Amino acid sequence: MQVLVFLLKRLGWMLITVWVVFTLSFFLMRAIPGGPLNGERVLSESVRAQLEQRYNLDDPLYVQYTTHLWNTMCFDFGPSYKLQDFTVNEVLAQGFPVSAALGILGMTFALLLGMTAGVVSAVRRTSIYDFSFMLLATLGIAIPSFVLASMAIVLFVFYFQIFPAAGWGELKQIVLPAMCLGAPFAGYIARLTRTGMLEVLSNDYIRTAYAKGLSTRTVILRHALRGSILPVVSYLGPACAGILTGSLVLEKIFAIPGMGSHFIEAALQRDFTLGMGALLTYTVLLYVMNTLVDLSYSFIDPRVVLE
Amino acid sequence: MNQTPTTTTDEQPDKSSKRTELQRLAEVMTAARTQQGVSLWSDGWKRLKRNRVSMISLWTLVVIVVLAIVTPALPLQSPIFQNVKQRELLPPEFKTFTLGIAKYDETLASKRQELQAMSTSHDLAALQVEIEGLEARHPINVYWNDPNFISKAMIEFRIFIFGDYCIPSICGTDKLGRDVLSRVCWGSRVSLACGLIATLVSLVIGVSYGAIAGYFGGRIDNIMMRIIDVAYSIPFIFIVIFIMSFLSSPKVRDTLHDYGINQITVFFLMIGAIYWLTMARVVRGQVLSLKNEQFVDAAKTIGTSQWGIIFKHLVPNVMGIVIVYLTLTIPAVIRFEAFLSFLGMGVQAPDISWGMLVNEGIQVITPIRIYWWMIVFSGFALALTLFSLNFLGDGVRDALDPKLKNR
Amino acid sequence: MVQPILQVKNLEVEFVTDDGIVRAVNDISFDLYPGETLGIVGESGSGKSVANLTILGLIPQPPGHVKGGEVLFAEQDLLKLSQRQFRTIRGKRIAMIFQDPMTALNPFLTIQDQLIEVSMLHLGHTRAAAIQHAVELLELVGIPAAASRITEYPHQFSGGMRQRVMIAMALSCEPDILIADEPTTALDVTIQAQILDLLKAMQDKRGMAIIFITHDLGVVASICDRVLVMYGGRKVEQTDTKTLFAAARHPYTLGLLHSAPRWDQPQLTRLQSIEGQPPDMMNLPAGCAFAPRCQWKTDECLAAVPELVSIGSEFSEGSHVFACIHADQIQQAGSTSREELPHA
Repeated sequence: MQVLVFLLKRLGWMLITVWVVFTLSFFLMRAIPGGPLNGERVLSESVRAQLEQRYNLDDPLYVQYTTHLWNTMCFDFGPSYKLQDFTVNEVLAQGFPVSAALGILGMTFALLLGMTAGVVSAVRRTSIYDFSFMLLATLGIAIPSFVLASMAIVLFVFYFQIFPAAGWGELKQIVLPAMCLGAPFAGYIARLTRTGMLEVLSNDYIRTAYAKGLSTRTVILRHALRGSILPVVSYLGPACAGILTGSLVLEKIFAIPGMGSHFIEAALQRDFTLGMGALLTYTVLLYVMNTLVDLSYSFIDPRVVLE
Repeated sequence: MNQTPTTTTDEQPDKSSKRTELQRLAEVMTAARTQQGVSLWSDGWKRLKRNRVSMISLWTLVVIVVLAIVTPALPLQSPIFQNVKQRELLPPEFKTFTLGIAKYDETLASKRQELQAMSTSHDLAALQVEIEGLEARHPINVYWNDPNFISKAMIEFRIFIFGDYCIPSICGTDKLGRDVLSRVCWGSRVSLACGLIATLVSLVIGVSYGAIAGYFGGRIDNIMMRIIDVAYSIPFIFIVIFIMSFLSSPKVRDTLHDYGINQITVFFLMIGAIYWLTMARVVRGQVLSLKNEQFVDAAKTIGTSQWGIIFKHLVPNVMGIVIVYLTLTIPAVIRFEAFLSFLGMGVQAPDISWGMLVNEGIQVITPIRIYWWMIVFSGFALALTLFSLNFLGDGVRDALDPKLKNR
Repeated sequence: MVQPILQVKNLEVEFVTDDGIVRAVNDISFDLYPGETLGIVGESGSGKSVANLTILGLIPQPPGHVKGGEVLFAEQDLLKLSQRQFRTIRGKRIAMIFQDPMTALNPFLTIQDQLIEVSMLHLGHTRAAAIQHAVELLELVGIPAAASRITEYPHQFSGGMRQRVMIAMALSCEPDILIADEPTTALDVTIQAQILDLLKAMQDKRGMAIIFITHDLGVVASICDRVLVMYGGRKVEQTDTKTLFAAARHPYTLGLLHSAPRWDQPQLTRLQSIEGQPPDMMNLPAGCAFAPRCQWKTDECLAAVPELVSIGSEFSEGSHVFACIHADQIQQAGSTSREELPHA
């Protein structure tokens, strides 16, 4: 019941957010001189009129706004400006699974590596493991993913020739981009886990657990881990946003036909409808992820009350 | 440990005991005056100095920043002059390279002399045109992209000191025959400036917003924080990408230029404007807990205005935590600038930034030949800067806020 | 002659920190006999908690470090045990309860999860048997509706109830020794009395020995058989409770006695405080650690650490160990001051 109320409230706020994003980007795009049809080609008057009609550009602004808003609410993003034969929905439906696979793999990699390194660093504090893991983590955080990716390509694709350079479809093709995508987040998660673990380990209840005669492994896994991943869980929201942004770059570098590539293409080509569609998809995606994070937070920590 | 023992006199205090009490208080006061309080800053600096990694990072950054500032005065090759035919994608080399300004000046001078010696009006006009052309195409105008007066003075200083000498292309050249070392140096100026200016913008917005929300509290706070909540769930980065792509169209750029707005400026401002959210939240939290302290009441009693209290009394007190967050924001902003420039939506040619250089490097990667110098040097510069900033940030955080240690 | 169940001999523990070495426990020795309650009294930082955590091998190493001494229990030196061997003793034969029941229980696990793991580990209970056992324990320590409340989380319990849960957890394997580290300090006064009664009742039923760490002399009077007073990491006085209250022989103990309210004195008597600060454990003074705060101090006190002097035979009525060269003077001052305190 409590969860249901929470979800309904969140749904309401999500609609508001989506509306804000829609309005903001709609008017920003329209406010910028040189409308969406002013590409490199010079259009004849009749073609222009035809196109304007096709995209409802001949209506007054408020009519355009309401029509567009209504269509968006019905999940219809309209036809793409530049990819003539596709609707935005089709393009997104094609790109989304690809990006999702990349993102999920990258996130899994980040979580597995980050949490393991973090726990080991905290438990073996000030050891050589701790030092090298934290150095690697800071490196991972500091180096932008595209620098990492380009160096990885030079090394692993051309020099050692372990991985294929680009493309999509095989597992082999997805590994390198997913690792590059996950690396900065692995670093961040490692540091968060380490801090969380150290903080939890200094708690009285850990001493209680040791006083019961439990082994270090049991104390860490059963008593400490749960509390120490709370910072990681609350970081998952921003991490999802970061993974989405990061995938823009990595999809470009590795020529992966995901949503990010389409979005960048849309932005470069000034494909207004496609860009708007991708933008709103990203907004909803982020909101859903953040809500899930809050939900899982309350499952992990019994003291948290959802609101 | 300079605590004064508490007195426990239980009889009625007579005159003499009152006197001794006064005396004791006076002593305490003098002791307090002579005792030098350890301020947060000096204490923090002391702790930071003990952190070796942070100090190495700090010095690295100082070197990088100084290099970026004096770049125009360094004997570098032109960062933008193209020489496709002879110098395309040269690997690192140590052959000396000259600017050729001296020779150019010689030609110009001899033409001018010729002009003075001339008599026929027809030839005179032709020569005059030629000289004007030569002057317009003077290397100073061609080799450097529209430098402002400080940079120009530094370039002239460099020519005065080093003459035609240039550091050889020890980092190779790019696809258009431009020197990579020079481009990395010039790129550092834009990347670092972006980090600083955008961070300052976010600082001003974030601190003011947070302080106002925290100080006024109640409904104002509620509304302001709700706005931040909504803003948090807006994927601003994507919106910025979209806007930047529009701004980069030639037509829009020209329009903006007519208004005297540089595209880089818009870019700085926009990045700054999306990085203030966390700052605002943190400052608000601090102000909320500070505003009930007695020094605020004291300021109120002597008639300080509300804005005076906010910006003179509260804001200085949250500077510690603000600086901690600044050290996080600067690298984030630099990374974001590099990210956008990498996607081709940030800094536009002929301006140079590190992200753009890495992008150029990636574009020339082919299975046949690895032009490693195109990626390694720019990537290394970017990574080193971000790495140092991160380590310094960790150190500053530990030094200023020991409670946050290990976070 | 009763054999002591636990013997601590010349225990020394130090902590190596960035600023220097903290000598938390200096040459502490005491015996614990079956079924008795030994109180350890001292102000915070006097090393009483560290000494007892060392007995259970619970001080963090590093920075902690046992410099010397031995802890004899069941014919073995606990300090020489491997971690694996130690685990068979912790929680099973020596159990501990801590000061703050708010933080000593894991907030992420239910009471049941935290209770059953002890008996499953040490007694080899199945899960069902362990739950049965846990419910019985909770009923024993007086938690109403134990069977239904056992699945709740610590934050759903009040402070006193949580301390009862802690006691149930400690009693789970019927330990020989229970170390109680200020178990009542964080609780309301009325709850304090309940917990003390509970501990006494449990001791009567199970016959275990209790080491009771506290800084509250009132609590000492109501529960302890013998008392050990610590100051600056050293033992300064040890005797039975009655003698301690009647004839303290160390100025610090006397100071403690005067700073506690007493029912046998007029209500308006001002309590006396011990002037000055606790010693800096990083550089203890060369002589008696209490000397800087002591009104009886002489040059002799500052020169060397006073030896422990023993009167009467061990574990007999009136046996008394103290470390003060002015002990007689102080005992006298103690008995006279009680009679001559001003009546306001």
